[in-house]
Amino acid sequence: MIKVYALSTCPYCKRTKKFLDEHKIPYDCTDVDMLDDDEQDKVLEEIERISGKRAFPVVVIGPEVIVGHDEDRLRRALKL
Amino acid sequence: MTDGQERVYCPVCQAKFRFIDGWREGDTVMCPICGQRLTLRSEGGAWTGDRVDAMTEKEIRDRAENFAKLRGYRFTDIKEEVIEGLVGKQKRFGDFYCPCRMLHTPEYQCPCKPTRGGDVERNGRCHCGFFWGSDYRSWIAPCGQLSTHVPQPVHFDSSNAGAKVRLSMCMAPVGHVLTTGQKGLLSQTILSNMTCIVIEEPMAHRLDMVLHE
Repeated sequence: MIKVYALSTCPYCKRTKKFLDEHKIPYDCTDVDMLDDDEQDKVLEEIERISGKRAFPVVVIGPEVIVGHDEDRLRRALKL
Repeated sequence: MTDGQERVYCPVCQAKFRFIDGWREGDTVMCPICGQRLTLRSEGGAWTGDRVDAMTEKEIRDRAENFAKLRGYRFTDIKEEVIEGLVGKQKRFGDFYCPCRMLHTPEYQCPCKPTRGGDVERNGRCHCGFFWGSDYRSWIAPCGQLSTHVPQPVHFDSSNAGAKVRLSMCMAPVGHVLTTGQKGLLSQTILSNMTCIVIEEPMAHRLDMVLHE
């Protein structure tokens, strides 16, 4: 399952989610800003561990981690 | 106050600006730091400003427009999407905080403190890409790339050819017309002054063509 970490208000995150929706790609999304404090800290640490920074959106497709809205990389990772 | 001037406190940027002779209580003025419209109020011998149209979409639109005019900035091509994000922040977190940050403290009210402190001059854009320097033009390449993180500039010269970096945002000379090959890549005539080019990996194979133009 593709994992997306996003902020509920971030326009770039919305574009990434819209892109996946339009291509009917199922994914599990966590809006990190909507989590309670304890959960948020855990998820932020996880994001930093896998991407090396705290920037959004983060899309995890198997071993590939895509930071930022990047349709070209999404297409290649998803073989679209 | 060391210069003997009266000052007005702005509750948005939490700084004081100079009181102009002739201003009176109830007047509407603009904070010259963040662009917020304020109604002057005297409180305990000190001037403060009350936010006009507080917590409305009109407030953040006016503030952003005023700030861009004050600084000579231009907006992103996805301005309306950023404003939607700012309005979402206000509804969910109580004020117009940067939509691309997790921080909901006064210094991250738009325009955030790093932006008021010169991020656009340093990086060509603010953190969320809402404000851009007047010498720069952003666009979304045809492939739809749009990076959220602040890129590190690579200087526009041939020595960068072959560099393993990525291209998503570029800056090039005023009136620069793209070649046929470049049009496929970027599709727009470049409008801004040449300062630097930011290159990202997926376009590395096109790098020679771009840099040797």
